[in-house]
Amino acid sequence: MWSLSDEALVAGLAAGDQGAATAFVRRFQARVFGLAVTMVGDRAVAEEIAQEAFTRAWRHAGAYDARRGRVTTWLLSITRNLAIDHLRAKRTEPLDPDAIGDAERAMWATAARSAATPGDGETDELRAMLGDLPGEQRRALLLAALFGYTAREIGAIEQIPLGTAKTRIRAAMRKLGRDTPGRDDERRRGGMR
Amino acid sequence: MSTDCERVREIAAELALGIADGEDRARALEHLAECTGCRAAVERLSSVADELLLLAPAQEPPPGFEGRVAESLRPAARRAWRGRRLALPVVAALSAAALAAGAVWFALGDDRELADSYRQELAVANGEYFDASSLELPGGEKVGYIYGYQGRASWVLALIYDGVDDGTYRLELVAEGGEKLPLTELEIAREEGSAGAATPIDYERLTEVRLLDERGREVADSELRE
Repeated sequence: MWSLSDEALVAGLAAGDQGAATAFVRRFQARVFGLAVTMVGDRAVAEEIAQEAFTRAWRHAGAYDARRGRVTTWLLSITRNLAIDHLRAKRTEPLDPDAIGDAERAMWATAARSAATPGDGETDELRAMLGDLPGEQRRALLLAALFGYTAREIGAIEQIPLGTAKTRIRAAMRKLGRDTPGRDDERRRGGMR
Repeated sequence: MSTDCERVREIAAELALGIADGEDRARALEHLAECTGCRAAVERLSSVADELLLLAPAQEPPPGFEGRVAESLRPAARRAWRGRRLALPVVAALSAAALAAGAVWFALGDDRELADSYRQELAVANGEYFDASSLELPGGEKVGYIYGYQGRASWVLALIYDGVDDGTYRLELVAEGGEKLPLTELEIAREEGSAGAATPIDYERLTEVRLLDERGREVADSELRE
Protein backbone atom coordinates (compact mmCIF):
# COMPACT_ATOMS: atom_id res chain seq x y z
CA MET A 1 0.00 0.00 0.00
CA TRP A 2 2.76 2.44 0.99
CA SER A 3 4.67 1.88 -2.28
CA LEU A 4 1.68 2.53 -4.55
CA SER A 5 1.80 5.49 -6.92
CA ASP A 6 -0.11 8.64 -6.00
CA GLU A 7 -2.62 7.91 -8.76
CA ALA A 8 -3.21 4.38 -7.49
CA LEU A 9 -3.90 5.76 -4.02
CA VAL A 10 -6.48 8.15 -5.43
CA ALA A 11 -8.10 5.26 -7.29
CA GLY A 12 -8.24 3.35 -4.00
CA LEU A 13 -9.69 6.40 -2.30
CA ALA A 14 -12.41 6.62 -4.96
CA ALA A 15 -13.19 2.93 -4.51
CA GLY A 16 -13.68 3.38 -0.74
CA ASP A 17 -10.56 1.45 0.28
CA GLN A 18 -9.83 2.43 3.88
CA GLY A 19 -6.19 1.40 3.65
CA ALA A 20 -5.71 3.65 0.64
CA ALA A 21 -7.39 6.52 2.49
CA THR A 22 -5.02 6.18 5.44
CA ALA A 23 -1.98 5.92 3.16
CA PHE A 24 -3.19 8.92 1.18
CA VAL A 25 -3.49 11.08 4.30
CA ARG A 26 -0.11 9.92 5.62
CA ARG A 27 1.62 10.66 2.33
CA PHE A 28 0.26 14.16 1.83
CA GLN A 29 -0.60 15.51 5.26
CA ALA A 30 2.66 17.44 5.76
CA ARG A 31 2.35 19.14 2.37
CA VAL A 32 -1.32 19.99 2.81
CA PHE A 33 -0.90 21.23 6.37
CA GLY A 34 2.29 23.11 5.43
CA LEU A 35 0.54 25.00 2.64
CA ALA A 36 -2.43 25.80 4.86
CA VAL A 37 -0.19 27.14 7.65
CA THR A 38 1.82 29.16 5.16
CA MET A 39 -1.32 30.76 3.79
CA VAL A 40 -3.39 31.39 6.93
CA GLY A 41 -0.61 31.61 9.53
CA ASP A 42 -2.65 29.93 12.28
CA ARG A 43 -2.10 26.24 13.06
CA ALA A 44 -5.59 25.59 14.42
CA VAL A 45 -7.28 27.11 11.37
CA ALA A 46 -4.77 25.37 9.11
CA GLU A 47 -5.68 22.03 10.66
CA GLU A 48 -9.36 22.58 9.88
CA ILE A 49 -8.52 23.59 6.33
CA ALA A 50 -6.25 20.58 5.85
CA GLN A 51 -8.92 18.20 7.13
CA GLU A 52 -11.51 19.74 4.83
CA ALA A 53 -9.08 19.47 1.90
CA PHE A 54 -8.75 15.73 2.47
CA THR A 55 -12.51 15.38 2.74
CA ARG A 56 -12.99 17.24 -0.55
CA ALA A 57 -10.34 15.11 -2.25
CA TRP A 58 -12.03 11.96 -0.96
CA ARG A 59 -15.44 13.07 -2.21
CA HIS A 60 -14.11 14.03 -5.61
CA ALA A 61 -11.49 11.29 -6.00
CA GLY A 62 -13.59 9.64 -8.71
CA ALA A 63 -13.37 12.77 -10.82
CA TYR A 64 -9.56 13.08 -10.55
CA ASP A 65 -7.98 13.04 -14.01
CA ALA A 66 -4.25 12.33 -14.11
CA ARG A 67 -3.98 13.99 -17.52
CA ARG A 68 -4.86 17.34 -15.98
CA GLY A 69 -2.25 17.36 -13.25
CA ARG A 70 -0.37 15.44 -10.61
CA VAL A 71 -2.09 14.28 -7.46
CA THR A 72 0.05 16.60 -5.32
CA THR A 73 -0.86 19.72 -7.25
CA TRP A 74 -4.53 18.68 -7.43
CA LEU A 75 -4.68 18.26 -3.66
CA LEU A 76 -2.74 21.45 -3.00
CA SER A 77 -5.07 23.39 -5.33
CA ILE A 78 -8.01 22.21 -3.24
CA THR A 79 -6.17 23.33 -0.11
CA ARG A 80 -5.34 26.69 -1.64
CA ASN A 81 -8.97 27.35 -2.60
CA LEU A 82 -10.15 26.56 0.91
CA ALA A 83 -7.47 28.77 2.46
CA ILE A 84 -8.29 31.62 0.10
CA ASP A 85 -11.99 31.35 1.00
CA HIS A 86 -10.96 31.73 4.63
CA LEU A 87 -8.59 34.63 3.92
CA ARG A 88 -11.11 36.49 1.76
CA ALA A 89 -13.80 36.12 4.39
CA LYS A 90 -11.42 37.78 6.86
CA ARG A 91 -10.50 40.62 4.57
CA THR A 92 -13.02 43.12 5.86
CA GLU A 93 -10.38 45.36 7.38
CA PRO A 94 -8.17 47.64 5.31
CA LEU A 95 -5.00 46.02 4.03
CA ASP A 96 -1.81 46.63 5.96
CA PRO A 97 0.76 46.77 3.16
CA ASP A 98 3.77 46.41 5.48
CA ALA A 99 2.45 43.34 7.31
CA ILE A 100 1.47 41.60 4.09
CA GLY A 101 4.72 42.49 2.38
CA ASP A 102 6.61 41.03 5.35
CA ALA A 103 4.57 37.81 5.21
CA GLU A 104 5.32 37.40 1.52
CA ARG A 105 9.04 38.02 1.99
CA ALA A 106 9.16 35.54 4.88
CA MET A 107 7.33 33.01 2.71
CA TRP A 108 9.81 33.41 -0.12
CA ALA A 109 12.81 33.32 2.18
CA THR A 110 11.56 30.04 3.69
CA ALA A 111 10.82 28.54 0.30
CA ALA A 112 14.15 29.68 -1.12
CA ARG A 113 16.25 28.00 1.53
CA SER A 114 14.08 24.94 2.06
CA ALA A 115 15.79 21.92 0.56
CA ALA A 116 15.75 19.43 3.39
CA THR A 117 12.16 18.24 3.09
CA PRO A 118 11.73 14.92 1.24
CA GLY A 119 10.35 15.49 -2.24
CA ASP A 120 11.52 19.09 -2.36
CA GLY A 121 13.82 18.30 -5.25
CA GLU A 122 10.85 18.63 -7.59
CA THR A 123 10.63 22.34 -6.83
CA ASP A 124 14.29 23.16 -7.35
CA GLU A 125 13.85 24.17 -10.98
CA LEU A 126 10.83 26.34 -10.23
CA ARG A 127 12.52 27.93 -7.23
CA ALA A 128 15.53 28.77 -9.38
CA MET A 129 13.33 30.40 -12.01
CA LEU A 130 11.49 32.37 -9.36
CA GLY A 131 14.85 33.47 -7.99
CA ASP A 132 15.73 34.85 -11.41
CA LEU A 133 12.62 37.04 -11.55
CA PRO A 134 12.90 40.71 -10.57
CA GLY A 135 11.92 40.99 -6.91
CA GLU A 136 8.80 43.04 -7.56
CA GLN A 137 7.47 40.50 -10.08
CA ARG A 138 8.15 37.59 -7.75
CA ARG A 139 6.41 39.38 -4.90
CA ALA A 140 3.33 40.13 -7.00
CA LEU A 141 3.17 36.55 -8.22
CA LEU A 142 3.46 34.99 -4.77
CA LEU A 143 0.88 37.36 -3.33
CA ALA A 144 -1.53 36.21 -6.03
CA ALA A 145 -0.64 32.51 -6.09
CA LEU A 146 -0.22 31.84 -2.39
CA PHE A 147 -2.42 34.45 -0.76
CA GLY A 148 -5.12 34.90 -3.41
CA TYR A 149 -4.71 38.66 -3.70
CA THR A 150 -6.19 40.27 -6.80
CA ALA A 151 -4.23 42.69 -8.94
CA ARG A 152 -6.15 45.56 -7.36
CA GLU A 153 -5.22 44.41 -3.84
CA ILE A 154 -1.60 43.90 -4.86
CA GLY A 155 -1.61 47.44 -6.22
CA ALA A 156 -2.75 48.66 -2.78
CA ILE A 157 -0.20 46.51 -0.93
CA GLU A 158 2.67 47.59 -3.13
CA GLN A 159 1.36 51.14 -3.52
CA ILE A 160 1.53 50.95 -7.29
CA PRO A 161 -1.09 51.57 -10.02
CA LEU A 162 -3.43 48.69 -10.93
CA GLY A 163 -1.90 48.47 -14.41
CA THR A 164 1.58 48.04 -12.97
CA ALA A 165 0.38 45.27 -10.65
CA LYS A 166 -1.19 43.44 -13.60
CA THR A 167 1.96 43.87 -15.66
CA ARG A 168 4.11 42.38 -12.90
CA ILE A 169 1.85 39.35 -12.43
CA ARG A 170 1.55 38.72 -16.16
CA ALA A 171 5.25 39.14 -16.86
CA ALA A 172 6.17 36.71 -14.07
CA MET A 173 3.67 34.10 -15.24
CA ARG A 174 4.77 34.50 -18.84
CA LYS A 175 8.39 33.84 -17.90
CA LEU A 176 7.60 30.81 -15.77
CA GLY A 177 5.20 29.44 -18.38
CA ARG A 178 7.73 29.87 -21.15
CA ASP A 179 10.75 28.52 -19.28
CA THR A 180 9.35 25.26 -18.00
CA PRO A 181 10.03 22.69 -20.74
CA GLY A 182 9.24 19.10 -19.83
CA ARG A 183 6.66 20.05 -17.22
CA ASP A 184 3.96 18.16 -19.09
CA ASP A 185 6.15 15.05 -19.34
CA GLU A 186 6.86 15.22 -15.63
CA ARG A 187 3.17 15.49 -14.88
CA ARG A 188 2.28 12.53 -17.05
CA ARG A 189 4.96 10.40 -15.44
CA GLY A 190 3.27 10.61 -12.05
CA GLY A 191 4.90 9.90 -8.73
CA MET A 192 6.00 6.32 -7.99
CA ARG A 193 7.35 6.09 -4.47
CA MET B 1 -6.34 35.37 -33.46
CA SER B 2 -9.72 36.99 -32.81
CA THR B 3 -10.38 39.95 -30.55
CA ASP B 4 -11.91 37.58 -28.02
CA CYS B 5 -8.74 35.47 -28.11
CA GLU B 6 -6.62 38.57 -27.51
CA ARG B 7 -8.75 39.59 -24.54
CA VAL B 8 -8.54 36.14 -22.98
CA ARG B 9 -4.79 35.82 -23.59
CA GLU B 10 -4.30 39.20 -21.93
CA ILE B 11 -5.91 38.03 -18.69
CA ALA B 12 -4.72 34.41 -18.92
CA ALA B 13 -2.39 34.85 -15.93
CA GLU B 14 -5.18 36.15 -13.68
CA LEU B 15 -7.48 33.35 -14.87
CA ALA B 16 -4.83 30.74 -14.11
CA LEU B 17 -4.22 32.21 -10.65
CA GLY B 18 -7.96 32.44 -9.91
CA ILE B 19 -7.85 36.19 -9.31
CA ALA B 20 -9.69 37.50 -12.39
CA ASP B 21 -12.75 39.56 -11.51
CA GLY B 22 -16.24 38.11 -12.00
CA GLU B 23 -17.16 39.78 -15.27
CA ASP B 24 -13.81 39.09 -16.94
CA ARG B 25 -13.94 35.52 -15.75
CA ALA B 26 -17.47 34.92 -16.98
CA ARG B 27 -16.66 36.29 -20.44
CA ALA B 28 -13.46 34.30 -20.61
CA LEU B 29 -15.15 31.05 -19.58
CA GLU B 30 -17.66 31.52 -22.36
CA HIS B 31 -14.83 31.93 -24.87
CA LEU B 32 -12.72 29.09 -23.43
CA ALA B 33 -15.60 26.68 -23.89
CA GLU B 34 -15.23 27.16 -27.63
CA CYS B 35 -11.54 27.96 -28.24
CA THR B 36 -9.06 25.13 -27.84
CA GLY B 37 -6.05 27.39 -28.44
CA CYS B 38 -6.92 29.75 -25.60
CA ARG B 39 -7.89 26.83 -23.39
CA ALA B 40 -4.45 25.28 -23.89
CA ALA B 41 -2.76 28.61 -23.12
CA VAL B 42 -4.69 29.05 -19.86
CA GLU B 43 -4.17 25.40 -18.88
CA ARG B 44 -0.44 25.78 -19.33
CA LEU B 45 -0.35 28.79 -17.02
CA SER B 46 -2.67 27.00 -14.58
CA SER B 47 -0.13 24.21 -14.28
CA VAL B 48 2.51 26.84 -13.42
CA ALA B 49 0.19 28.31 -10.77
CA ASP B 50 -0.39 24.84 -9.34
CA GLU B 51 3.32 24.10 -9.16
CA LEU B 52 3.93 27.30 -7.20
CA LEU B 53 1.99 25.73 -4.35
CA LEU B 54 4.75 23.16 -3.98
CA LEU B 55 7.00 25.95 -2.71
CA ALA B 56 5.21 26.10 0.63
CA PRO B 57 7.39 24.19 3.09
CA ALA B 58 5.92 20.91 4.34
CA GLN B 59 5.08 20.84 8.05
CA GLU B 60 3.93 17.94 10.19
CA PRO B 61 0.39 18.49 11.47
CA PRO B 62 -0.47 18.10 15.18
CA PRO B 63 -0.43 14.58 16.67
CA GLY B 64 -3.58 12.60 15.93
CA PHE B 65 -4.36 14.47 12.72
CA GLU B 66 -3.84 11.45 10.46
CA GLY B 67 -6.12 9.23 12.54
CA ARG B 68 -8.89 11.80 12.79
CA VAL B 69 -8.88 12.49 9.07
CA ALA B 70 -8.64 8.84 8.05
CA GLU B 71 -11.55 8.04 10.35
CA SER B 72 -13.69 10.73 8.74
CA LEU B 73 -13.02 9.20 5.30
CA ARG B 74 -14.70 5.89 6.05
CA PRO B 75 -16.89 4.42 3.28
CA ALA B 76 -20.02 4.58 5.45
CA ALA B 77 -19.69 8.35 5.60
CA ARG B 78 -19.27 8.54 1.85
CA ARG B 79 -22.36 6.39 1.24
CA ALA B 80 -24.38 8.68 3.47
CA TRP B 81 -23.03 11.71 1.65
CA ARG B 82 -23.64 10.17 -1.78
CA GLY B 83 -27.09 9.05 -0.76
CA ARG B 84 -28.10 12.63 -0.19
CA ARG B 85 -26.75 13.84 -3.47
CA LEU B 86 -27.43 10.99 -5.86
CA ALA B 87 -31.13 10.87 -5.14
CA LEU B 88 -31.36 12.89 -8.31
CA PRO B 89 -30.44 10.99 -11.46
CA VAL B 90 -29.05 14.08 -13.10
CA VAL B 91 -26.42 14.87 -10.49
CA ALA B 92 -23.87 12.60 -12.14
CA ALA B 93 -23.97 14.76 -15.24
CA LEU B 94 -22.58 17.65 -13.16
CA SER B 95 -24.70 20.00 -15.20
CA ALA B 96 -25.96 23.33 -14.06
CA ALA B 97 -29.40 21.78 -13.95
CA ALA B 98 -28.18 19.12 -11.58
CA LEU B 99 -26.75 21.65 -9.16
CA ALA B 100 -29.91 23.69 -9.09
CA ALA B 101 -32.16 20.66 -8.83
CA GLY B 102 -29.94 19.29 -6.06
CA ALA B 103 -30.56 22.45 -4.09
CA VAL B 104 -34.31 21.95 -4.51
CA TRP B 105 -34.15 18.33 -3.44
CA PHE B 106 -32.12 19.22 -0.36
CA ALA B 107 -35.07 21.26 0.84
CA LEU B 108 -36.88 18.02 1.65
CA GLY B 109 -34.27 17.00 4.20
CA ASP B 110 -33.37 18.15 7.63
CA ASP B 111 -32.84 21.91 7.69
CA ARG B 112 -29.50 21.89 9.43
CA GLU B 113 -28.13 19.20 7.15
CA LEU B 114 -29.48 21.15 4.22
CA ALA B 115 -27.73 24.32 5.32
CA ASP B 116 -24.44 22.51 5.83
CA SER B 117 -24.59 20.64 2.52
CA TYR B 118 -25.68 23.76 0.69
CA ARG B 119 -22.76 25.75 2.09
CA GLN B 120 -20.34 23.00 1.06
CA GLU B 121 -21.70 22.87 -2.47
CA LEU B 122 -21.57 26.62 -2.83
CA ALA B 123 -18.02 26.77 -1.48
CA VAL B 124 -16.79 24.57 -4.32
CA ALA B 125 -16.87 27.51 -6.73
CA ASN B 126 -17.06 30.47 -4.35
CA GLY B 127 -20.81 30.55 -4.79
CA GLU B 128 -23.11 32.70 -2.69
CA TYR B 129 -26.54 31.31 -3.48
CA PHE B 130 -28.78 29.43 -5.88
CA ASP B 131 -32.08 30.83 -7.02
CA ALA B 132 -35.10 29.44 -8.87
CA SER B 133 -37.97 31.39 -10.47
CA SER B 134 -40.95 30.48 -12.63
CA LEU B 135 -40.91 31.28 -16.32
CA GLU B 136 -44.38 32.43 -17.34
CA LEU B 137 -46.35 33.33 -20.45
CA PRO B 138 -47.84 36.85 -20.50
CA GLY B 139 -51.11 35.38 -19.19
CA GLY B 140 -49.37 33.93 -16.13
CA GLU B 141 -49.24 30.30 -17.26
CA LYS B 142 -46.07 28.60 -16.05
CA VAL B 143 -43.98 27.02 -18.80
CA GLY B 144 -40.69 26.35 -17.05
CA TYR B 145 -38.09 27.52 -14.59
CA ILE B 146 -35.08 29.77 -14.47
CA TYR B 147 -32.25 28.64 -12.22
CA GLY B 148 -29.59 31.13 -11.24
CA TYR B 149 -26.27 30.87 -9.49
CA GLN B 150 -24.43 33.77 -7.90
CA GLY B 151 -20.72 32.96 -7.68
CA ARG B 152 -17.29 33.90 -8.91
CA ALA B 153 -18.75 33.07 -12.30
CA SER B 154 -22.54 33.44 -12.25
CA TRP B 155 -24.79 31.45 -14.55
CA VAL B 156 -28.40 31.07 -15.61
CA LEU B 157 -30.14 27.94 -16.79
CA ALA B 158 -33.60 27.94 -18.40
CA LEU B 159 -35.73 24.80 -18.41
CA ILE B 160 -38.92 24.70 -20.48
CA TYR B 161 -41.27 21.81 -19.87
CA ASP B 162 -44.58 22.74 -21.49
CA GLY B 163 -46.61 25.33 -23.34
CA VAL B 164 -44.06 26.78 -25.80
CA ASP B 165 -44.12 25.88 -29.50
CA ASP B 166 -41.15 24.00 -30.95
CA GLY B 167 -38.49 26.18 -32.52
CA THR B 168 -35.39 28.23 -31.90
CA TYR B 169 -35.51 30.90 -29.22
CA ARG B 170 -33.11 33.29 -27.51
CA LEU B 171 -32.63 33.96 -23.83
CA GLU B 172 -32.13 37.58 -22.87
CA LEU B 173 -31.09 38.97 -19.50
CA VAL B 174 -32.32 42.27 -18.12
CA ALA B 175 -29.95 44.00 -15.70
CA GLU B 176 -30.68 46.60 -13.05
CA GLY B 177 -31.26 49.82 -14.91
CA GLY B 178 -32.88 47.99 -17.83
CA GLU B 179 -29.78 47.05 -19.83
CA LYS B 180 -30.50 44.01 -22.00
CA LEU B 181 -27.85 41.33 -22.45
CA PRO B 182 -28.00 38.31 -24.76
CA LEU B 183 -27.36 34.97 -23.06
CA THR B 184 -27.72 32.02 -25.43
CA GLU B 185 -30.01 30.22 -27.87
CA LEU B 186 -32.54 27.64 -26.76
CA GLU B 187 -34.07 24.91 -28.92
CA ILE B 188 -37.48 23.59 -28.03
CA ALA B 189 -38.56 20.20 -29.38
CA ARG B 190 -41.77 18.46 -28.32
CA GLU B 191 -42.41 21.46 -26.06
CA GLU B 192 -39.28 20.77 -24.02
CA GLY B 193 -35.85 22.34 -23.98
CA SER B 194 -33.12 23.75 -21.81
CA ALA B 195 -30.11 25.99 -22.20
CA GLY B 196 -27.76 27.87 -19.94
CA ALA B 197 -24.56 29.88 -19.92
CA ALA B 198 -22.31 31.96 -17.73
CA THR B 199 -23.71 35.47 -17.36
CA PRO B 200 -21.62 38.47 -18.39
CA ILE B 201 -22.42 40.22 -15.09
CA ASP B 202 -23.12 38.96 -11.57
CA TYR B 203 -26.43 37.16 -11.21
CA GLU B 204 -27.44 39.42 -8.33
CA ARG B 205 -27.44 42.38 -10.73
CA LEU B 206 -30.05 40.74 -12.97
CA THR B 207 -33.73 41.44 -12.55
CA GLU B 208 -35.36 39.45 -15.32
CA VAL B 209 -34.80 36.66 -17.85
CA ARG B 210 -36.82 36.76 -21.09
CA LEU B 211 -37.45 34.08 -23.70
CA LEU B 212 -37.60 35.68 -27.16
CA ASP B 213 -38.66 34.17 -30.47
CA GLU B 214 -36.62 34.49 -33.64
CA ARG B 215 -38.06 37.93 -34.34
CA GLY B 216 -37.14 39.17 -30.90
CA ARG B 217 -40.68 39.14 -29.50
CA GLU B 218 -41.11 38.16 -25.87
CA VAL B 219 -42.69 34.73 -25.46
CA ALA B 220 -42.22 34.20 -21.73
CA ASP B 221 -40.63 36.04 -18.87
CA SER B 222 -39.25 35.39 -15.39
CA GLU B 223 -38.98 38.07 -12.70
CA LEU B 224 -36.01 37.07 -10.58
CA ARG B 225 -36.03 36.88 -6.75
CA GLU B 226 -39.68 37.86 -6.44
